[in-house]
Amino acid sequence: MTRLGRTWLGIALLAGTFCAPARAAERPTSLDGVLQSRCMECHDKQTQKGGLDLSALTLADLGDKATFDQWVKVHDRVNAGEMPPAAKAQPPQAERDALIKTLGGILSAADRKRQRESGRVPLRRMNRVEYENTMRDLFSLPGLEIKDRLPADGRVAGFDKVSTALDISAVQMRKYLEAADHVLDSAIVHQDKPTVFRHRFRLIGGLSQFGNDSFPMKEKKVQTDVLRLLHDPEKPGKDLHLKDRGPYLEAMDSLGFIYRPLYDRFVGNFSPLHTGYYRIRTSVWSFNLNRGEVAPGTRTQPFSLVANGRRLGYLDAPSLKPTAYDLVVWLNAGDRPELLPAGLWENRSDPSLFKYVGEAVAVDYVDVEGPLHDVWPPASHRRLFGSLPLAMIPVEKGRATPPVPPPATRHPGSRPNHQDGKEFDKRQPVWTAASPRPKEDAARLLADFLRRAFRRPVPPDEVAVYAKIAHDRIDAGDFFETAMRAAYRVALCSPDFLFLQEPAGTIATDPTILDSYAVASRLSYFLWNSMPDDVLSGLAQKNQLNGKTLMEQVDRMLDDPRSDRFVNDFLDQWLHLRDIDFTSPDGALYPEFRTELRDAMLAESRAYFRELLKNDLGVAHFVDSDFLTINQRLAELYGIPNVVGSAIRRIPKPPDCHRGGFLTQAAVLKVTANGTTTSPVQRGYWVMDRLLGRPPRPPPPDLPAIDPDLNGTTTIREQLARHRANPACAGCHATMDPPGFALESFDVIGGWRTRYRNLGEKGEAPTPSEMLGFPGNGNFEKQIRFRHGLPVDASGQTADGKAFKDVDELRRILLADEESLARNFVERLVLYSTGAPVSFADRAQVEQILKSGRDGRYGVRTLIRGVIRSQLFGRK
Amino acid sequence: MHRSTVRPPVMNRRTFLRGAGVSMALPLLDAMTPARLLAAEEAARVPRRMVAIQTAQGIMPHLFFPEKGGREYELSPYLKLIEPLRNDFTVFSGMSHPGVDGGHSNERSFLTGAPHPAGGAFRNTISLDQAIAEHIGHLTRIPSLVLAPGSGGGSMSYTASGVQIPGEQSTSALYRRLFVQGSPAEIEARVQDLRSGRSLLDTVGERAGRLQKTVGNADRHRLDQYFTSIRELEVQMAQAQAWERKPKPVVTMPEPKDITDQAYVIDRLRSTLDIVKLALETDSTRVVSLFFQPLGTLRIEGVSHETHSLTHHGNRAEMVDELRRIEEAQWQVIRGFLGGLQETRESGDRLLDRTAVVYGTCMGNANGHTNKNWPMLLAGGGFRHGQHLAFDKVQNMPIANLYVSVLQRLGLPVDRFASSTGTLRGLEMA
Repeated sequence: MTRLGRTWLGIALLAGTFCAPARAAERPTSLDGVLQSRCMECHDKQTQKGGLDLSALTLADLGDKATFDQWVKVHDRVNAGEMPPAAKAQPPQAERDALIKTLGGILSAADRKRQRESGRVPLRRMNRVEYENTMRDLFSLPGLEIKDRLPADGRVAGFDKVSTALDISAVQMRKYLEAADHVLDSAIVHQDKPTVFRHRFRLIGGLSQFGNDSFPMKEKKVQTDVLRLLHDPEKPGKDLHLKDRGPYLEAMDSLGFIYRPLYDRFVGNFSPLHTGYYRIRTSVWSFNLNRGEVAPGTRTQPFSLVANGRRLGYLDAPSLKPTAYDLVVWLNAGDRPELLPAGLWENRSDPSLFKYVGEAVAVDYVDVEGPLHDVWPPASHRRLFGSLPLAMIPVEKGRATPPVPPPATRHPGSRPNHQDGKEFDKRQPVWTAASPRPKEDAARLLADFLRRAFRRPVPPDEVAVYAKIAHDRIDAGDFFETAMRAAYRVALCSPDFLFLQEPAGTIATDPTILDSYAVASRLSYFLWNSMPDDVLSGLAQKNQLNGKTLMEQVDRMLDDPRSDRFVNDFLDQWLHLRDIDFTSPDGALYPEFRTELRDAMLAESRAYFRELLKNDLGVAHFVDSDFLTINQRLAELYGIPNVVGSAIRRIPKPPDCHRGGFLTQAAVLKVTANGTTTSPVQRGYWVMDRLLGRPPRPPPPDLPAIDPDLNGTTTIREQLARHRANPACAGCHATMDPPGFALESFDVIGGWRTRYRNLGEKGEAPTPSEMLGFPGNGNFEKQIRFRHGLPVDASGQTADGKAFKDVDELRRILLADEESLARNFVERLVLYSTGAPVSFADRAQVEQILKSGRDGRYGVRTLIRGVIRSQLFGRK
Repeated sequence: MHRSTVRPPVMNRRTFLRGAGVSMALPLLDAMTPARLLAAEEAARVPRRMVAIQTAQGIMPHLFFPEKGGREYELSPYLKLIEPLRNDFTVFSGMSHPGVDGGHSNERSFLTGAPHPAGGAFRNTISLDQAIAEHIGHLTRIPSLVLAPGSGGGSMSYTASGVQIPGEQSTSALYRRLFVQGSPAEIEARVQDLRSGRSLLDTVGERAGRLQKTVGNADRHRLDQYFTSIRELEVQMAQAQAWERKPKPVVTMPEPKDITDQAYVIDRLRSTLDIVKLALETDSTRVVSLFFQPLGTLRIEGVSHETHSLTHHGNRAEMVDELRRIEEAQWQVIRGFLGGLQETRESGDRLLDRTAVVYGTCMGNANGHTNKNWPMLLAGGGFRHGQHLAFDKVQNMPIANLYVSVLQRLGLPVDRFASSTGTLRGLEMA
């Protein structure tokens, strides 16, 4: 700034200081009068209560975000009746209304002006989840894993969908380059149709465990004679050598297990050489083992099928009844699929098989077949090279080939191996897409690809840019594949692919109305979290994505399995379910927690939201319901009998059950606790913020936090009471804590409790029946060390004086505020679907959406349709 | 918004490359033959380096802070563990980043000082290591190393636009990047790859330019960011391409095996720092940021609980004792690293004297997640050490002042960084 400029600024500031009335002059007199008489006592230059100086707050510069936000806060606190504070003289309602009307009008107008000039939502890049889904759909590669290769995305209010937080940098750009290469490597094939590998695996887990915690069975009996040969606890050092164990594997009928493994439970040495679909057939059952004798099982046991951390499915193993499964799953090359006995306890005390008393499972076989290709080259390759044939480049010294990516790293000794196919021959010919008319084909293939990848029509001159890249390489003598790849790579890193472009349409009266392709993209990134399919693009081309057709599409999309991506991703962000693994429950306090339960938790909340969507149930269901969506493991946790199997199903809520709504679902109770203790503050905050949309203000800096106590001498409520005695804390905590008090009835894994678990000396020891399926001779007293200590007090009083004695009564209080539940939900939907939070001018439209849903008690599907029908969604 | 006054040097690719031919230093090793010695003026310039290490789960303050200030202070239990280095470090108390008040979120602001990292609209600013790398990164093969050997990876390095730079977790990958050259064909392939990457950037840049003409103001701002990223990446690739054909230093240490068991994460820290020392010694890089999370149940004698729950120890003696074992194990590693830099010589100087090592944590007391009085320490780097600089425990000294002192010691023409109010009072150059 020049010297002159600085001087002028100084004078302007001085003017501001001494001539407060002059500054106020730009305010309408109706507004200024009220502010002067009602607010200036505390919010003048001298006092500035709460950091607000109304004499310096100008309406002239509402383009400045900070100023604008300040005024919105003034508006909101007066509107809510929080200002002037109760202790001061209150203005008559008419005066209050007038102020709200005038100020609201000014703020709306300013906000609308901003939106007209630059749009509600600036150009947004895909976040990494959208990027992964888009790549999966574009290339028909449903198991492609790419999002973890990209840097984490910025968030606003817990959501990674907000345009202004989705930055781009050189780091990001470099990763896009690498990711594009990885995707193209995965999509393009370099060989003839792969040999289908078929094999029956008998061993699950390591050979060295065979005879320890896995064992051979014949005709549903333990082969004790073989067992003594493999590993006799009474003859240490005399174990059968590993290499001699094979025949016993082949001779047995089934492989039994008594423990959930501490190590991996790989399906033999299977690790696919090729990525693709595989058929897996297996047969499993459960039983009880009593010192070597097989007896009927106590409960149906789950197996989980996992590949590289991805859960492919749960298989139920009923008592003594071998049950066959036939699954087709996507496996990536180099994966090592595992079949885990997910419902057993881990080996804590190591009693030998001959002494074990408790639950057990058996696997009869695992048959693997794949990769299954109905066409070759596969769809991913065809996306890039159409129906061009593959040509073989024979193996000759010095003969060039297009670069072939190195094969996936597989664990040494994996099957398939050299016995299983020609692709293991040392010298492999390379196959590559061959074109008789390369330049013509390049232009044709690119035109088709770009239209899909960019999710809009691509004019010929734009196609020509990419075609030129390919043509130059063809002229330089590169392989057709190499030339095309160069062009595709550029396309996948271009802003046209990475950004969701939302050009306004051609409607002169309102240039902010989105064109039909932008609407198609908004729809698909909302409800599928990915690119539009052919149906949507077709309707966009015919400019029909409006009115009745638009609503039909919404229903079609919500009924399509791809909408699971919306359900999962939206709940992950809205309810914070993505933090499900943020803490792991302390093994000493919650020994019964395992992955099986964690998976069921997520499945419950997702299935529940799905039910609300399917039946258009009202937002009241966020806190209450007359049905539950649970499986056996959750039923066991919730104390509900007769639910058998790992599949989530809808059941009527039993009488005396304290569950209902997201509020009391195990996943929510887990993400709002740490692994050892619960905090009413954290859970109360979650209810206020996530369900009611009224997040309490953050604590003032440098206040001491509470030290949780695990000795069982004080409860968190007693400690919190001391904290709340501090007047600096009391105000916010009076609002925030009560819902959390009611939720104290639930422990960190979502179980119901009347007393707190602790690791001290105080309280009663649990009984074995509480620790579902704990082995009968597993040294219960030594292994399970926690105690049930001090009693839980779940009663409380809301800030406005409504008392409750437990979570059921709290629920009734929350239900009285259905509109807040609905408004919060709509605001989250708007942010999620459009990429910008609800701003001041948007509020009127939110109210409009709410109004249309009021008669149906705010049905979830109705509200989603309302958002999509609104101007917020249809305009830039 | 706080802005760093550190600005990237203005340079386009061509001027950069012209300069690069002259000024790019080959790895400088005492063991190298005289024939490899560079021009006299280049050799005369003393290479200065910076390593910043953050351990994210806190350091128990009662075991870290000495009681008295000044040169005559008595070593605290933790500082006793690095006693042989007493005259090579300065311990600080009463320091924090003003406004950095987000509990665990503070870890993101450790090197940036950006306020309110837990806020809904938080946006980070450039980290100290990246600010340094913008000035001296081009002098070495690797402009800066961003490492995260702890559980769960992460990183504390951020670009000027506040984007997190992912940290390297694998020690073997780090080793290969620094010391494994590859065959001539592999080198040629990488050069080709960089070349085609750069031509790709040209094309998408043009495309973004055309797009920019058709969009509104707010959109244009987002596209500007895209342009900047392309230009920065272009420079980085040009730099990498220039280095690709130059031989990598040969070291006697074999490629380490990755430690994948999270229970041994502190061993991975040690293994990573062994390589860092080699990287500094071979002048492969001069800037390192290392973010460390010791989470999980660690395999350390006497430790049976998960680290994070131990940090919420509630002052119960047995929990404090377990946590102390975990923290002591880390101090042992730091001692080994600093000791190694002490013993290594570079043209007569101790490597430690040319390497400023910042070590600390983002919370005053993890038990209560407090935001004041961060345990911080500076070793080496050419300062007059051997003292405890005790600042006001209530009105804390901005940590950014320490960063400005470090920046200046590295010869950077900078007098402000993040929330700094000057250089650090009482810390003098040696």
